[in-house]
Amino acid sequence: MRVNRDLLREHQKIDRDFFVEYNNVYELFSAQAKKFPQKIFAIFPEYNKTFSYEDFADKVVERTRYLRQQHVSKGDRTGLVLGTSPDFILLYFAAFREGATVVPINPDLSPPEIAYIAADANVKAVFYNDRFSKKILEVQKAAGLGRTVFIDVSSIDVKNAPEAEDSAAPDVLCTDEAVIIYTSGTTGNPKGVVLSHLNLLADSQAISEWFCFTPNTRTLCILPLFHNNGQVVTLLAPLNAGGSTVMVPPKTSLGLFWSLVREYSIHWTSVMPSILAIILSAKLERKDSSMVGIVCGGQVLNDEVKAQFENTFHVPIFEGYGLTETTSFASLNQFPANNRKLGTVGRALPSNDIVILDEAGQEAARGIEGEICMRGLNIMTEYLGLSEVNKKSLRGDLFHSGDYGYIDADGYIYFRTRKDYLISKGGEKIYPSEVENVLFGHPAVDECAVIGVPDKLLGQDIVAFVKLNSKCSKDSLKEFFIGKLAHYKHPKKIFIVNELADLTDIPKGPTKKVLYRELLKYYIENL
Amino acid sequence: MNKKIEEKLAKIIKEIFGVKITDSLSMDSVEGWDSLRHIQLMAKIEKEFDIEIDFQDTLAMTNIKSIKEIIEKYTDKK
Repeated sequence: MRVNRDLLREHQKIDRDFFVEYNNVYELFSAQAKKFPQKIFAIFPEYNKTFSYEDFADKVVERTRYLRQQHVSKGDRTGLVLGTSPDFILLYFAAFREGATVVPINPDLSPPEIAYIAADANVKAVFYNDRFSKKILEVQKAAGLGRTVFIDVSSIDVKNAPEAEDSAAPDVLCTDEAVIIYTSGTTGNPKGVVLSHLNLLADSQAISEWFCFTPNTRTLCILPLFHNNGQVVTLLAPLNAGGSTVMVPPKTSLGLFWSLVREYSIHWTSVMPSILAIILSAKLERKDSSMVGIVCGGQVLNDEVKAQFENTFHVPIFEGYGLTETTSFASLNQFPANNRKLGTVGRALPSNDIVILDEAGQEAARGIEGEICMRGLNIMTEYLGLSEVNKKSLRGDLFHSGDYGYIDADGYIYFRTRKDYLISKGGEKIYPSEVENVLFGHPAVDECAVIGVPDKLLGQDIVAFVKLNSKCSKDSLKEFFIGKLAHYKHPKKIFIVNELADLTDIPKGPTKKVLYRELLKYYIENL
Repeated sequence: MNKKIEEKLAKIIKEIFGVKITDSLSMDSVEGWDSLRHIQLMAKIEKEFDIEIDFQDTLAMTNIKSIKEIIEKYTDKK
């Protein structure tokens, strides 16, 4: 299908010419498979499998037939409760070919959390790995999922399946929904960020061009695929150039970081700051000579960690800024490394404009701090089903991030503060309200407040303050979280204010709003 | 698996994850078995059993069954 440039221009919203060449992500993959059939597309060391572009394209077509047998078609949504695996990527591209939306779901979430996402996105089918079958049995019992089909990917027998109707693939437009990625929400429930094919194509192309990726570029995908960063920076960006990706499971691979880089001659990877801190603290030894750079974002990178990492391993780190709502990165530091401006999150990618708005909502002059806002091809379509939040966040032609910073005279962005009190633990976003909601369900808890506290390895960790109405141990409170929230959202420490000598109550303002800043100050000064 | 190795592994699992070893334990069922703990687990296993596990095997060590099999493979070689 010819690229609809009029449709693109309508959604461009930026003054410069930055055009994507494809209507949808499957078209990009298919074009590269035709151009580089024998080149390696993806390597999965855990599965001992290497796929050429051609091999993988054939398997995607097989999965497409399977989706048709399951009556998954254009406009339907498919949930993927899969770790990093060939099945994830095969179903990802197969769904795109059919015009279906992919809803990647973190397999570490608890059954009620998975059920919430599946119901909210109204997924037609959930594909899962047999490792998670026990969890999925619980999910299936949830209300609102009566019509959802749950499919264990090990049961998919594409070779012996009867040939499905092999009708032509539907037209999938650049503005069609591609993925819905769930992020933590202020009300405690996660919000579904709807990203179009144009969003994925534009952001990945911009990143690929920014770092001068070529068909020889090989990336290491060590971030989970249910995040935008793993999908866009280490899978789709090299795909744009005809490069290849080594895909490894995050939990088991971190200790092997430099071994993997050497074994597979990796050039680039993308990480959260906490990963750099862990590699440093684990005293891993660099063994390669291939690594060109590491892209880093998702939370503030501590200057000390950055300097120590670069001095130890002699690999430049390219910091950037972005949110799920901007597909992945909206800004990045300049490549090559001597063009970086340290202490900044770089400049706006060509796929979007970044502006700072002052308190009056006017564009601020260079050097003046205000809210970071963006417009462009990588800005999400909407938050799924949240019209009030959409009205607030997508005002005028801008996405209002709620984050604060400024832009200097050279166009470099200085990030200042994260919005609200969102906790960013090892790159995972946790809203205090999610944790508080569980604590409030405990019969002995009268009041509680949850804050993010500085943590050397994870950037931030979770601490809860509770006021009890009857006797209860901290261990009992900690146990109360099991099965209700994913483990990474459990508080590291719980303080019972009744037992603290100099804090008799949870501090509150005149309107009885909890003063989270006061609690953080108290924690830093006293605990 | 010989009793001495089994006991040593049980001690490591208890120390790192705070749970009693059973064959059904896996990365997906043990709370807190994250990337950092996995690094600690691998380092401890290599130190205690005086072995060096290659990356392919490290990726496969996602549950107690596979961990036991892989430790046996390396200790048998010695």
